[in-house]
Amino acid sequence: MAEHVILFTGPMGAGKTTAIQTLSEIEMVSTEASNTERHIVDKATTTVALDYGEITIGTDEKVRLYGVPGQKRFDFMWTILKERARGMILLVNNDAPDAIAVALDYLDSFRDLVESGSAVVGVSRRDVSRYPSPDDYADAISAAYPGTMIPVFSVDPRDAAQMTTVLLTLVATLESRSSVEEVRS
Amino acid sequence: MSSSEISPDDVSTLLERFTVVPAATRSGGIPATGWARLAMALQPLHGSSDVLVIADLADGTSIVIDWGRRDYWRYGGSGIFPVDATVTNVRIYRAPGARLPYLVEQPDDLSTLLWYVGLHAFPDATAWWFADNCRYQLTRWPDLTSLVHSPDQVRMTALLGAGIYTADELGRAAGVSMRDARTLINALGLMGLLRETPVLAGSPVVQVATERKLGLFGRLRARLGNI
Amino acid sequence: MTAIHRELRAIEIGDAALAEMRELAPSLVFAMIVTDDGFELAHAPQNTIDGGRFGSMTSSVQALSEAVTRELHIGSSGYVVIAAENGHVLQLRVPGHPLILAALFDNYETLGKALSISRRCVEKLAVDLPDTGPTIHP
Repeated sequence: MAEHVILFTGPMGAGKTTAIQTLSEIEMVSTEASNTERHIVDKATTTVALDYGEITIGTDEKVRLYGVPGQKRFDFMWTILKERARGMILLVNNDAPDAIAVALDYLDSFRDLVESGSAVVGVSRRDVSRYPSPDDYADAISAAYPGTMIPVFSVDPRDAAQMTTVLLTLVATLESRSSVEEVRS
Repeated sequence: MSSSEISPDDVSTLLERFTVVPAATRSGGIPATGWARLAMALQPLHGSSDVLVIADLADGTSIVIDWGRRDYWRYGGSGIFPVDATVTNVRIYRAPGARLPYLVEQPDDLSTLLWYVGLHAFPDATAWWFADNCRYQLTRWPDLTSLVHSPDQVRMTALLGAGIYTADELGRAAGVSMRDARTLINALGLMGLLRETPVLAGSPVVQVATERKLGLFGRLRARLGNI
Repeated sequence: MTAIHRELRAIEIGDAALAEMRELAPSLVFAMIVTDDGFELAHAPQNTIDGGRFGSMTSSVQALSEAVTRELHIGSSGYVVIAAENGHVLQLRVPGHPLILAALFDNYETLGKALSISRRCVEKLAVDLPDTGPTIHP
């Protein structure tokens, strides 16, 4: 069985669980608990272990979609899941205060994936807050990780076409890198 | 794409001084009258600020571009951009040192215009601002989810992000026609997202595996359908 | 509405319940009552394990175990045991409240007795804890 593990990361409320629900062919396995911090993010529930969805490509091949909890106090789950991940999709909400700093903070927790170019950033809620722009994120990320070129897209996690583009982009960047390495060797 | 109540005439009275950009030609050929005319007028503006551009189309549409803010809006016309447009006039207004006022409430993102114009301006050639015999490399990803795009364009953009290709090499690496590769290169170039490097005589051609296995991208794309 | 883990009365009840557990089971190394999403209501004894991290892990383990029981259609989750060389952790829900008890016993205690003591604790908590309602912040 060939499996490709893709991690969904990002702060609470950015849309990780929604994004996996959008892409997953199976009913998503979720680990939601009542949210005690409604004064911070006004959601009734929050992910406390992981979200799991999958896409079956062939009889022996799956893409496994794992969503981690957004809060730092669950970062032991980040450690467990990033060991298995081939690539990462970071979702951030653009209307959060200092959204770019938040994005960089999360990227820092997954440095290895970012430095190897195995990441795509999705910026949600740009309809609510147009700025910063994807270019602003890209500038900040290039400055923090010179030599990388991380795609930054505007996304609505409920939109299947957009989430498909995000996932295809991640896979395309992973494959393009490895095929260039093959050619050079 | 939006239309707006602010007409180009209103803009003209605000700014007054403009230069008309004559239609570009390609080494003794006939002047460009289609989207190429607009593309050739816009491409040199990368790096400029405080510039406003008004382009008039034969169908009565005017396109007003606030280059510094990366916004544009349309005035008049039918509401849909034609694939083959006739660009009758291009005026450039410069207001160095002055910040242009916000002119419309909900402009469209300039990237969507540059993408569209870039894809349609030079259907049978690489864009005229590119030198002959170049390879191309991506310097930044476009915001693809906000642009009408295909999975092939996703794959080609990723290849350009990882390597350096001529249009022909890109087409073969991605399994698409050279025309599709070229139009993408034109669009990314007009958006200012490419670096070009001359192909030196005697330099090795980028090898493309002659037998391309259907990679994960192809299998996943087939599974997820069109985007 | 005040979150339960910040309600003075609830904290007092939690502290008392854990104190009683310790009296009944000298083998109890550490116990904690946390909200569903991992925030601490009470722990005992003081100044031992880093309750913050353990509380979050308790929440994750509980949610994962309930995902398993849902997947297998075997009814609601009863308790979770993590058995290790030098001790075992027991987790149970507090009936009727969004709270979880997690207790670490050393291996001198039989699992049966540990479970019995833990069950008694959560059943008492279920009765004693106030229902939702505004109270004083600590």
